[in-house]
Amino acid sequence: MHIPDGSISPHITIPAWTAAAPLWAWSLKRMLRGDAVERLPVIGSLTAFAFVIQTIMIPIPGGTSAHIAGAVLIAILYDPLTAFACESLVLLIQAFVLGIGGITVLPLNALALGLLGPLAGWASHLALRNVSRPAALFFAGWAGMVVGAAALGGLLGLQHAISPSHFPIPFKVVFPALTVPHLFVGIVEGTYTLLAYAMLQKVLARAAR
Amino acid sequence: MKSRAFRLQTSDFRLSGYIAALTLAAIIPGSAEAHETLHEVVRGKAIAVKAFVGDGEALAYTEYEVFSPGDPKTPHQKGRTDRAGFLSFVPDAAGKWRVRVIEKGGHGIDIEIEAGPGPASDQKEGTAHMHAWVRPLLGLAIIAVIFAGLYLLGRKKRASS
Repeated sequence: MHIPDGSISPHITIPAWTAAAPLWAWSLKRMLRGDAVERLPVIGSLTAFAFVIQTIMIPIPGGTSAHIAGAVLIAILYDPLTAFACESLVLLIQAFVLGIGGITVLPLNALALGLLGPLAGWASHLALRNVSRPAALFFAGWAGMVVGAAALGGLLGLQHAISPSHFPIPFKVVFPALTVPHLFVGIVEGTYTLLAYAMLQKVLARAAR
Repeated sequence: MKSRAFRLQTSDFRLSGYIAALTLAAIIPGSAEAHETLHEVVRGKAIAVKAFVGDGEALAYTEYEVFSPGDPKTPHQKGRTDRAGFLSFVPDAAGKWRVRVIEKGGHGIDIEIEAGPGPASDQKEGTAHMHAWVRPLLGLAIIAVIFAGLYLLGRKKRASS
């Protein structure tokens, strides 16, 4: 679920870089501010874990496969901006080291998968946590995954409308192709978010004793 | 009656001559080939590209486009990869050939392949020659180094303030 280089024209990449660059600078500044520095080892570990789980492919109906992201968990534990920075780093390394996704399209992938998805998950958790914490965590993971995929589907569809030579597949094909499988992957993301949060809570409780 | 028969014979000869001339003209190479479908098998000319994701799963039956060095806008070739994720093309000019494989879900590759003037060699190139676990480990190492650097930088900054 990463857009590769060459599929998106400058009409979209330039505004995306303009939007993402100040957010990266702001999130980095916040990470290095005061006591926030002490969180960096855990944030780094969660980023590394997100990088690893994104290499594990899950077979989904239709004969293809996808992976979970792990960024919603970071958004719930810290905030969506931290999740944006962590997921951006994961995407950058995936592009350079694994050849997944692209460099010119990095802000697009980061804004969709690292900001919009985690933001939707974080907001869902905030809205539902007083009703049921486990349900809120599960739904947050599911919503984050689906919103991120839908955002990418929408961007690719927009690209087709602007310049079909850059991306030859129309919105009516690419949007469901991205969104429908992630309705199922979202179930795995939701389960991961719920279990990982519970595990971290136990570890923190044990460490506090 | 006789003269009519003679005239007919004369015109038959002329007609036969015209038909013979047309037949000969039609046999001339080029016009005779028009309805004939031929083939030749040429080995060692094509470049084959395999498209697959990190876990080895092939991008099977996926749309692709190949652009020649001389025309980066109009595809030289379009089609779908085979069941094993392979596509192949025969470069007719030396230079950088662009290959795009675009899955409907947005995944894909966009690479440039250098084609020499001679026949294609059987040498392998690409991103798949490192052990499968080496690149994820390299990624983890980079994340560790970046966060360690940020942590040290943040502590230094805090100590100085």
